[in-house]
Amino acid sequence: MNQFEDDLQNEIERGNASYSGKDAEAYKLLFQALEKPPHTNVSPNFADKVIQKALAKEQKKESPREFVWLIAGSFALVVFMLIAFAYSSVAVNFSVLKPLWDYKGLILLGAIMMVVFGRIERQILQRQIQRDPMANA
Amino acid sequence: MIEERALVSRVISGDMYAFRQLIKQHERLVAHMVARVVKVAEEREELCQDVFLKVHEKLKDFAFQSKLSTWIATIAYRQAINHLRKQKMEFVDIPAEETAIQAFVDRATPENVVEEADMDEYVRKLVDQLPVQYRTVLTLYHVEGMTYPEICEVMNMPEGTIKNYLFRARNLLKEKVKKHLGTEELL
Repeated sequence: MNQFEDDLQNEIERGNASYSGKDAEAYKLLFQALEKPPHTNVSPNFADKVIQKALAKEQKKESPREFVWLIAGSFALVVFMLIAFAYSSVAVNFSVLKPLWDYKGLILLGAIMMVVFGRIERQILQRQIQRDPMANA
Repeated sequence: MIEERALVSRVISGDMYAFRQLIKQHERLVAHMVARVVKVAEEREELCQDVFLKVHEKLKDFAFQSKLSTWIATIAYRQAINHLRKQKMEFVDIPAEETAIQAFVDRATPENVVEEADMDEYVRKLVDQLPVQYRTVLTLYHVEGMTYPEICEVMNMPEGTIKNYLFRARNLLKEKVKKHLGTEELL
């Protein structure tokens, strides 16, 4: 870095009028010109377009495709089971589930723990993303 | 800063009116950043949209360790650079040797630049010929009025490098302007 040039740039930038000569004149004109922004503008409805895309993205995230398939699949299973029971001589007997009722506490605890661990895992992942939020930028 | 925090909080909670305000406040900054990096005009607006979509997505992770405008400028710069990389644009730096500087000054300026009587327009076209890092530093410093630490954060470079780029870019442009002024005097 040429120290004289560096000093000249700094002094012209500060508006020091005592500097003259071709270099100083060129820097003055240059700095005035550099403050002008590039020729570019976004369209008048730019914000609307961005918001539309953002909303569309959110809706896509929220549409639980897998959940819909799960519900549809479960419904189809129940329907086919009922059809099968109706057209066969199978007698439905729920007494086989009775022993499970003795362990209702354990089953409930298991379900609660599954939900709790699922949430803890999601929070840990979010914290990892927060540590380096720009990793995927 | 308090207003910034309130605005960010509203955007995160899903307030699209607040997001519109945020876009309006920063669209010029993003447009200038993208325009300096990406030369094809048709690609710029879509890239600007992508920047704000990324801002919307990552805003919940913004921890106010810098100004919001600096953080958004960082996203804009990285998106623009990634766009160039996808198009396999090369990043060229001008060597520091005096001969290379002289070559830039002596290089025949394209007709559409030489004919430019308006100094502002002449300088604008010269800046477009500089490497992307030089153009970015000039825009952030002179147009957006950012400080050295803010520019360092946006471009992820040390302060010494930023100061060097700024000095070299201005020096090179000054030589061209001096030559242009000399040409005008002769005419």
